[in-house]
Amino acid sequence: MNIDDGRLIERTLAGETNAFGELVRKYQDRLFGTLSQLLGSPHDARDVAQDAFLAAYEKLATFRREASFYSWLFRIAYNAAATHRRKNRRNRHASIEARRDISGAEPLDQRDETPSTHMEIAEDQKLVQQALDQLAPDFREILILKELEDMKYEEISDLLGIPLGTVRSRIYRARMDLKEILSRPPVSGSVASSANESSDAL
Amino acid sequence: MSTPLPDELLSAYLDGELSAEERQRVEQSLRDEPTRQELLNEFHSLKQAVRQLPVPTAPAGFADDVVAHLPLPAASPVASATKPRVRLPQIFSALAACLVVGASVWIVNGFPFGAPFQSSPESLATNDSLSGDLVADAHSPMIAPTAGNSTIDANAALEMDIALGDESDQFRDPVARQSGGFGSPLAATMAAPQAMAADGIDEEQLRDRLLVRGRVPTTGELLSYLDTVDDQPVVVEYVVADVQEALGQVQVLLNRNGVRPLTANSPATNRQADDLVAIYLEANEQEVSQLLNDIQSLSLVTTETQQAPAIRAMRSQAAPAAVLADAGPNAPAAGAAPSPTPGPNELSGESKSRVMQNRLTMPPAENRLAASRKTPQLDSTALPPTVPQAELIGELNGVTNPALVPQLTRPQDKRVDGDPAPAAKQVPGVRLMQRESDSFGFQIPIPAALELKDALQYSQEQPRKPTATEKMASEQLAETEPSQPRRRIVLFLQQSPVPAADASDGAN
Repeated sequence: MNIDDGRLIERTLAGETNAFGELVRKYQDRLFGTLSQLLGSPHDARDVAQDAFLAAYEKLATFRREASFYSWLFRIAYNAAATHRRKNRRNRHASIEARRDISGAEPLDQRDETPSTHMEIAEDQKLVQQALDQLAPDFREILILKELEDMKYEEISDLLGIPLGTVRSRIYRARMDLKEILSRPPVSGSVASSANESSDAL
Repeated sequence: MSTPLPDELLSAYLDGELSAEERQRVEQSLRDEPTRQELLNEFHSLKQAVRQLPVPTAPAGFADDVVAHLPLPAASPVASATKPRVRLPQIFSALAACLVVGASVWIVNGFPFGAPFQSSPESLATNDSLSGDLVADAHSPMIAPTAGNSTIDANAALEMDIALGDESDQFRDPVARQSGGFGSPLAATMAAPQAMAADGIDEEQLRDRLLVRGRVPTTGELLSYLDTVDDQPVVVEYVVADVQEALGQVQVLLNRNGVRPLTANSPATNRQADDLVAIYLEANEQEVSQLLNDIQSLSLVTTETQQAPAIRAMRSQAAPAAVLADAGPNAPAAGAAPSPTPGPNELSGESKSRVMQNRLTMPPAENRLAASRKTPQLDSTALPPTVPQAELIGELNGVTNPALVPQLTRPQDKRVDGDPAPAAKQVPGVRLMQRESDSFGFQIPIPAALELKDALQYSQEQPRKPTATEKMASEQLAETEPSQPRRRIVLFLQQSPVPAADASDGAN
């Protein structure tokens, strides 16, 4: 386990809440980014991330330190997101609207690009995001876990409770679907969410 | 056209998730079939495109917000991490999902089969001056003081130190004396209750338990704890003699009111039947499994057939008197022979059956908290007329507590369809006993109760709005097993070490 994390955890357990604050600052952006993709809403991501950090704090004494702190935290956050998602099933429209926030309105990476290049990249990213959003929830989720969290198949299998072979085939099918969606002629944002009408993955 | 399998392997190849053999196959196919390389390139581009998607970062002030919402130290992992004896945070998440009912008082009042509290006349006077609950308790046949209890070994080392009503007596407590007596300037600077404990129970431990309560006790309040003395489980009662608060410090003077051993050492107690504690929860099996997994001290689950004559008796209406023979304060000296003649404070066999049933049958959930504060009703007219039946209904699934797993996975415990039940089947994991249509129970030994009791007391005495996380945990549990009903669960906490099976017990 990361030595710095270990020290911060020790200090937290010794009563220093500020040490836990440092852990939060260290991982908040990574967690927040993935949760935003999983939930389709930065607003929901904020709530779930906060719940996850609070739960991690309360359970910190049980953290066995065999895995990284972030892996442990992410598992807590994933479960929180799953609960949140189930709770909000009926608010599908709100979720779709929020998802547009991610693909369209959110600030992009600040890179040293010329304005025209920047616009092209932004346009491409928007298309990819829309395509990702159109994936079936199971496929979208597993690609997020694989690409954004860089999880191993075995970790995904463990987290989702599905066999390793299923992880492999699902990732393959998700990529094929993504490829197929991106090969279609561009569609407007209002149509982009039809695939989300299927069951939620989380 | 390529078959799906190789393409799937191509995707996994990109992720570095193939075996050496599979990797060789893919690399060979890449050399042989240029279209494979194109697809691999496409997968690679897609991978990069998704990885480079812009994602929002946490809003400003997020970390500060989280820190501001952290629970107070008393409820944080800090206390348990530094003092492993109290493992509340680990247990709390599981308990938060359960509706915990009056465990605290039930543990005090809920030793239906044991000897009464060792109480002196002074302590009775003390009780009389306290709340109505205690007055009622003092008149309860189950805990009324009687002669003949002096044979209980553990009490000799834990003689009570009663001082209420006689201020000078308060300072017989050596710790209090060393501290300069109550009311002297406080040396400690921590903003936490400071307990000046009598010897026998660790002062720091008492302070922790006061902290866990999350509120300042009031004068006259009776505090009861399950604890161990010389590795023997005991119930210790304290009366809050005085409380002083100043400058963020709280000083609490406690007088020991009574100590009650939970051991089977005494020849005056029935080795099999006494000290069965019932704690009532409302939860589903998954929640209970989680609870059991979280109780680190849980090391043994007693069996229904060997160590629970009370329950066995409940299965057979012919036997309740034998089981309850030692329940009254005038318990017979030894053995399991039923008392042929009830003593002055003793109920008849039939009445006691009803008492037992009453103790093991709680009111509906909405009434339990209130009921837990009362002395159990002994009025036979208020009791159901029959002794409930208990029936073995299976084993509790989902228990992964390392301490329990070996028992749960012992080969002889495994059930094989068609095979006759092996003799060792008498030692299963956690056995469930259906008692009523909506409840089931199982047994765990007293040592586990030390943690469980703390956790239950914590939950009960620190009412607060559940945090979002706790709500989440609760909902998560509920949603994970939507079809699993929440049922009334009775935790039978039985003393440990488990005594050897008594030949006179009549195990069959």
